[in-house]
Amino acid sequence: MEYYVYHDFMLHTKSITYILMGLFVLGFWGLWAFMTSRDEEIHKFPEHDKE
Amino acid sequence: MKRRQFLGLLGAAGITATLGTNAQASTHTFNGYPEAKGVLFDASRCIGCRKCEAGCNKVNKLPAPDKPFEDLTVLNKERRTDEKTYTVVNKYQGEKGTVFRKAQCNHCMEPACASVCFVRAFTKNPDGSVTYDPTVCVGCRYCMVACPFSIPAYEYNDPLTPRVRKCTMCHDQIQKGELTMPGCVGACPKEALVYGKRTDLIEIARARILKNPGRYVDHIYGEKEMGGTNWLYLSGAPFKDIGLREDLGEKSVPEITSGPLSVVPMVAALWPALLGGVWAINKRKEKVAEEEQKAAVKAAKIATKADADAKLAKAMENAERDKNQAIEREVKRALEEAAAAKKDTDDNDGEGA
Amino acid sequence: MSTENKSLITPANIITVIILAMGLVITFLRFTKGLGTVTNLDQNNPWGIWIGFDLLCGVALAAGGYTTSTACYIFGLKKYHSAVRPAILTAFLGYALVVFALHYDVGRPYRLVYPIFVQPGTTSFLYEVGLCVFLYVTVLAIEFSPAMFEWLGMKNLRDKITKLTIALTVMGVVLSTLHQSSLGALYIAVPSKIHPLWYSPYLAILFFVSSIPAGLSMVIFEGTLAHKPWHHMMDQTHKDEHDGVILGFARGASISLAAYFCVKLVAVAYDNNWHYLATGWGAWWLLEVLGFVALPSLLYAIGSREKNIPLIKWAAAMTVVGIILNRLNVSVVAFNWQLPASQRYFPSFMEIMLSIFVVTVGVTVYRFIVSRMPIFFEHPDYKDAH
Repeated sequence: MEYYVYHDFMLHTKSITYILMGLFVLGFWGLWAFMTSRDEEIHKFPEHDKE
Repeated sequence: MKRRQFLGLLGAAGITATLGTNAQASTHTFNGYPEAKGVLFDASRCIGCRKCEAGCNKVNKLPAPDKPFEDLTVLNKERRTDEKTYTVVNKYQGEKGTVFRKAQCNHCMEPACASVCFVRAFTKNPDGSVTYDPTVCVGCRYCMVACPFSIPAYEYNDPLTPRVRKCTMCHDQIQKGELTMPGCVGACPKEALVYGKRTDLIEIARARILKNPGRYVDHIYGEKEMGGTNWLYLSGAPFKDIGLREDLGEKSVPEITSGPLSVVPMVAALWPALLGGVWAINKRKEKVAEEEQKAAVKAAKIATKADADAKLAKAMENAERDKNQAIEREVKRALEEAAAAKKDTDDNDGEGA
Repeated sequence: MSTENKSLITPANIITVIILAMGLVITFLRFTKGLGTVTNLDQNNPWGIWIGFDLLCGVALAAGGYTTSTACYIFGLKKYHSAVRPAILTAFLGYALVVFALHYDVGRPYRLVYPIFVQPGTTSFLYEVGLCVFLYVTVLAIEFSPAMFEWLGMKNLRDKITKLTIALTVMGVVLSTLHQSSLGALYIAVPSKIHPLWYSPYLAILFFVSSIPAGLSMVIFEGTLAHKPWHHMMDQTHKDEHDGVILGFARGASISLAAYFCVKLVAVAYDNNWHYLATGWGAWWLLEVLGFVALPSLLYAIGSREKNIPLIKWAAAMTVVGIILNRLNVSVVAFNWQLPASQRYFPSFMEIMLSIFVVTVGVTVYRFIVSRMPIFFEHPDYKDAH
């Protein structure tokens, strides 16, 4: 779509950006949860679990 | 005029290129709607009759003014637009005599009001007008703060349904076919106002400046100011003397705010990663400290136990020795007693024999 | 306050009742006659102290919530743990009051959610502020809720929410960074109306950076105010940690004020506005920046070096005054500076009274909560549960 007015173009791009921002936050949460989900089974810091 | 350059706020995150007249976004250029209309105001033709004010009042069905439009004494005091008046004519004292200038919404090509409105209540229409939608307006008045020309007005005395009021370039009336040109333009008896395509108006204005040497300041106000406006001005007196600011710059509000706005998503993209990292590092440090403490306690326990064992062993040894000594002592005494008994018997035997 | 055994008719209570009564009268006038009757706002001055003080100062001074919880949970400074709850409570109340006060200022308060749910204007920094304040009030409410659940004895809910602490804290920092800076960025759109000494493309950074010492100073300042009346409510941990919190926060405030001072100077250098310093505006700017930024930074440094708690408290009070001064300078004093004096804005009596009313409501609710909920002490059932 072609825009004649910069403001209209910005409305379009910023709206997408805000949706992305929401996804970023959720994404970080998901990634973190996934990354640490096995931490209870495998010891977190094996080198310090040695006697 | 001082040119401000609005770089992004966080280094590389928000750098915008130096901008020319037309709004630019990286690889895009925006020249406005091609068929956009506008109005050219020529201050050298305006006689300050206030007919445009009356025309505006009529077509917009605004309340009657306190003093009739024929009363020209109101010109003695500089006025601005308000919630009942979309346009006003003001009188200025120029070097070459009295100059009049009409004020109303300039219908920016990149409207500040639309850019800052958080409910998109303002729209830049293809016909060049900037219009307002009261059905979504919250009444925050940021549009009034942002407008570099101080045009939008507010119904301060309406407690629950106040609206922002301003000139619409008669957008609705022209769309409906009630008018062919804005009410003020139609009412002007001196052709101080011309309604037409903005690109044509600029050419008309240039031609007037060329054809009438010395009559005009060689500048079309509104061609570039704040990114360009659809209402354009010609004047014989310097624009700053007729109430038009010359220090606004050529950048529109969307361009001014685009740098800082570009940093906003960086916060959402980078902060969680950064803070999460700091937290994880601290958590690990804590964990290490905890483990070390545990290990230390354990080692201390082992050391204590060994110590205790050693003590016990020693005690046992002592006890054993004591016991043995006791036994020895007992045996010795028993033997001694036995020997003594024997001697006694021997002695008794000897006596008895 | 410990008035249970005393008569309720104390000078403080009488003043509170008078202010609350006047507030109700102004509320009635605002919603029956309109802003025109109650305020001195006009077509040239659309934003007065309800924005400059209630919104801008309210949000800046409520920054103690995110600064304290970040120090404790993200940077792992566990010794500040006892300061987290009072700070979260103040932040929550501060933001709740900001939203409350906005209902008076905007024309149609019943549409305050429109930017989020009906028609978002994403190019506006005000949209950014609205969205973040909306989300952050929610985050603060959740962060504060464990204290309420402990008070009400709802252990399950309390335990579930405390598991979210880190996620909420990170979210709080993201949202706070965004809206603290966006409040300054509101004015980036208006280069032509604000005096060059206060206008800067760095306004966003200036507002964000200054919110850090503002929040830290408020925690110190408020702790000082709260210590006397609620001393009996504070557990030994809170009392023991109190001086440590003050000394640590004083260091943070000193450094962050110094950083803020640097950005302030850079902002002047950026547009080569040095010559304005020789004018009356410049004297006012120097008073703000030297008297209420540089000086408290130095006093904080001396105070924390010499473990001089009273000096630190003075520095905290000065910083709070400095932040209020700055926000009012940008939004009211330096705004429309080019207009003749007759067209400038000065708040009406009712505007000032309503701002005092809003603060009084906040203090009253604060008093109600800290007298009942586990704010200054740890609930006996949840000791060592963090």
